[in-house]
Amino acid sequence: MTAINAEVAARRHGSLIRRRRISRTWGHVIIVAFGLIMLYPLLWMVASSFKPNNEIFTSPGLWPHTWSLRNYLDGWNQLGIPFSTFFINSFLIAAISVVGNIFSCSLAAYTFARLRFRLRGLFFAMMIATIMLPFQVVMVPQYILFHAINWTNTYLPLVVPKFLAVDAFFVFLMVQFIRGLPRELDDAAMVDGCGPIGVFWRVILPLLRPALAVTAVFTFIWTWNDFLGPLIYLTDASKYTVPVALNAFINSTGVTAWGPMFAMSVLSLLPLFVVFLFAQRQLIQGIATTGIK
Amino acid sequence: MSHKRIRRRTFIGIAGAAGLAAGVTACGGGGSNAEPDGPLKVALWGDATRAAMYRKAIALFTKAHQGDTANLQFADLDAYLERLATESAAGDLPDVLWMRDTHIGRYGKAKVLLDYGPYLDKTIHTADLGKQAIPNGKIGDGVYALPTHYVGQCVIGNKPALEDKGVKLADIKTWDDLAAAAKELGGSAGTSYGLSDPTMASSHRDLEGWVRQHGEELFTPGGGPGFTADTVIAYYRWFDQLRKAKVLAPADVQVQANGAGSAGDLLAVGKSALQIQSSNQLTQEQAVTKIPLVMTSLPAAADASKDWWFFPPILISASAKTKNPETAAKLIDFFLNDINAAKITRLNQGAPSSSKILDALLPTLDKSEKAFVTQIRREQKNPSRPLPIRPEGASQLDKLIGQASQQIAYGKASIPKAVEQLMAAAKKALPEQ
Amino acid sequence: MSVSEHAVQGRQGRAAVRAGAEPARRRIRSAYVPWLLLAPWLVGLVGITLGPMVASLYLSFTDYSLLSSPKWVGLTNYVQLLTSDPQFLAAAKVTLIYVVVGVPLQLAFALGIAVLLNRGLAAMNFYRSVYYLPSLLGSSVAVALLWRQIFGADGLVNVVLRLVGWAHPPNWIASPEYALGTIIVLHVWTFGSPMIIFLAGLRQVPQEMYEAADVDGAGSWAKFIRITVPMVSPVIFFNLILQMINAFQAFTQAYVVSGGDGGPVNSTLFYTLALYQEAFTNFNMGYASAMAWVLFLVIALFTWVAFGTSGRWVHYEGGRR
Repeated sequence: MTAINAEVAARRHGSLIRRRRISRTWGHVIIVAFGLIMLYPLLWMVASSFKPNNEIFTSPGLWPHTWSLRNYLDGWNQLGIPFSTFFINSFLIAAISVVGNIFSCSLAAYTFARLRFRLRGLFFAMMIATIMLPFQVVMVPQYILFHAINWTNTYLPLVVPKFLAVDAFFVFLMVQFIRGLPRELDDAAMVDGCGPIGVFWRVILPLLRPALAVTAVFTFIWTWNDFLGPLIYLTDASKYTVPVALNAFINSTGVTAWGPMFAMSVLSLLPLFVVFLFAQRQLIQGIATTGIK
Repeated sequence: MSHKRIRRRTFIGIAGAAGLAAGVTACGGGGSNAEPDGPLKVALWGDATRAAMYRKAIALFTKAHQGDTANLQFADLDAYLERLATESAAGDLPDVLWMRDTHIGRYGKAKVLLDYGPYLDKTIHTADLGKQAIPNGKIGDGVYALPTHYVGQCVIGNKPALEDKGVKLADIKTWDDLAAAAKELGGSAGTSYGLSDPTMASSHRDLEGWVRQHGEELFTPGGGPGFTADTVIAYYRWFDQLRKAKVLAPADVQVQANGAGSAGDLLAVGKSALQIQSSNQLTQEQAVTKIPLVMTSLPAAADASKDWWFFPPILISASAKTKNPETAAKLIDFFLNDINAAKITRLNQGAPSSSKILDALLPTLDKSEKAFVTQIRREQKNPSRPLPIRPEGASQLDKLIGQASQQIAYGKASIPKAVEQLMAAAKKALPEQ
Repeated sequence: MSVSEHAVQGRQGRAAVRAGAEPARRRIRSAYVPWLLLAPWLVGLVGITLGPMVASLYLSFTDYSLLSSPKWVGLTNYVQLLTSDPQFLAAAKVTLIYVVVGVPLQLAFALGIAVLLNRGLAAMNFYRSVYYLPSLLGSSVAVALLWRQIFGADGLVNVVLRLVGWAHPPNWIASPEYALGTIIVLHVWTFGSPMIIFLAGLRQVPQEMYEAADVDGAGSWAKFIRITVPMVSPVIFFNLILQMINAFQAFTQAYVVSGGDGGPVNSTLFYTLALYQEAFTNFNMGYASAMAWVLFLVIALFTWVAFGTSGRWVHYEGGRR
């Protein structure tokens, strides 16, 4: 009897493994196929960056008839300033914004999520409300404000708000993450004598690492790609960030230099991609302990 | 415990360093307002190529007027206009700025621009600019802009297609001629359509030519709509007959081509044999295509009013709040009249308004540039009654025209119905003052 | 007692002393600590965000052309907007369709792919990056042009459709019926951001729970519905709220893909695009501000409903205190 049972169990186990392998293969197939679909537009852009300007629209296929590095060479110096300047400007603003957001948003989020104080509900609602108004109508009063304190044509209007937890998106994100952490951890730390700041520093912040990684990556990428802010506040070409510099290739009253623009867009993707890859590792190091045990 | 304390120190250190870095980068910016005798802020729309040319021209100015420097800011047209409006709201307009003819009415009326009155013929010389120059920038009692360049309207043709069917562009004199030519040419030398559809872009320029030929104007002196429904219906009917004959590019084909700019438009990729557009774009079109192109004037019916010709100006203004009005005036005169500057900027924004500059440039032009300049000079000799200043609702009218055209082209509304809606909306958008 | 026991007793004793002798001090301290920690956010709120918001509320009751001073007109803007503006209705319809169709679709993809990627299959890093790449480009002019090419008359999509037998597929990007659909597809294509957030949330689900379910013989779908979804529900909630708020205000993609006019025939006239046109093309910033505040109220309503019903399906490990 046991032998038959053992055989049945073994067969069931074998079919379980086979099922798992099949589902894993299907998983792979779906992911690869989908991945190709996702990537096609990007591949098209990369391919077009190697095509001369008049070929981009006449031969829409993926493989260029004539390969040429012309777009990269032209695009690099298109504004009379090497494009590396714009990469550096963008990087500077994005990196400083990341630092600002990580610290200010986590602090605000902790306060909303864990501390009790009067008006907490009201302030939380106001925080969410700040992202519900389209920026087009806030842009002009903000510009007038920054102009009144003489911050136009500097990076200050772009960077200082990040230290003041202005991005409700990240505050809310971290609030949700902190709410997912059991309170027992806080209580344990408080028993050990930590005040609220200590709890934040010792317990919450380390456990918030995935959320911090998300904040860092998104802040970097969104700040890098921000067009409107740098457009209205930066008027010196040497201060331009990458999106504003890319806009200089477009000419709606003349001929747009699509080739060089694609070339520089492709180059501009590289730092973003590198940042993303680097931050992924932080994302992956998940929470070793959700700690109650 | 100790390594956590170190982490707190690094926290403070990083935050402090970041703040310091922000401060340092901010200090590099300097003040945003031009102090008296500081560098002027000059703004224009366009791309990096144009900006490079104008920076070189400004360098010439700086050399000639020791110490008077200027910084150029530029952006593509839509972004430029958006930024201009925002800066104006803050009272921070650039000292010298290029102004669209579609916007001069609004900016002039709001009195945010410098009145050239005291400077005319003292610092700013207009003798060579033609008699339309001052009326193009006069709003009310003040002259708030002057034209640096003019553009015209034209028909551009695909030369191989024309030769293939033995059609001569110069023979096209009336709209009937153009229709016949388009029907003849559709399909020759690899093209699919005889004529591209200019109505699908939101712009009043094409309609304006037709309206003026019928003795009307787009705008009355009081700023209301000056055109009649019948004229507009006739305009759309002309294009619709070609659409029905499958000779005009269909709506979806044209809309898709419009999104790609010059390099993707139907003439440049060889899908269309003829195209109506601004005459200064001949050189740009030729630069993006291997197909040889030729141009001719916009057709006019035999009984069209004789003085319908018009040349939209590219205008230059100064800010009313500029702290250096004298220098600004000198710079404006430089851009209007200086031949060496024009030798650098050439025809990038259109045909220079100064006849002296045109004379000086003529020997240096290439084939299509020469064709453009010769044509516009010839046209400018024709009688041309003054072009009405665009009133405040002009940009809204653009959108309304675009909407009506799209509804007709996509078959969503009949021509009389669409035009009726257009007239009603235009009356609301352009109140008579 | 051993040294360690002494130490433990000592620590407990000290803690007890602290707990007993300092309630007053701690209560006072804990009263102002939240305000101290909140200070940067408060400064940002009042100085940078709230001020301009209040200004725009004021402007919504004025006639303001950006070039001249605002003139008070009371409720005229709102009345005109809600009773006699056909653009408003067209834009509202376009935006609602986009939100109702685009947001769930995008989130479903994001969650699905995140779950797939979280399984620890080989080369996951690489795939994760591949799926995120489109979001890096999402709002650029280059992508807009790409999209017009791909969904154009002879673009890739139609090439494939012709291969599978559809002889005359429409020009997706230039047809009033389908243009909005292409923008929704663009929105779904850039699902990278919510996907990353889902991944971070999935990381927080203890592996033990899945292992326990495996022992009980649960299949993948059961595990997904009974473990993954509830554990990740705070993150789902977050993504839902924020994607919805963003979708109501979608601008850049419509602006670049349609060339700025919301065409063809207003089929891609998103609400904020219409708003932008009022503000910067028609120089009607007062009217545009009124449009913005109407949108604000609509978004606030949807958000409030979402928060209100969240108690039923969102599960917080840390409790709802």
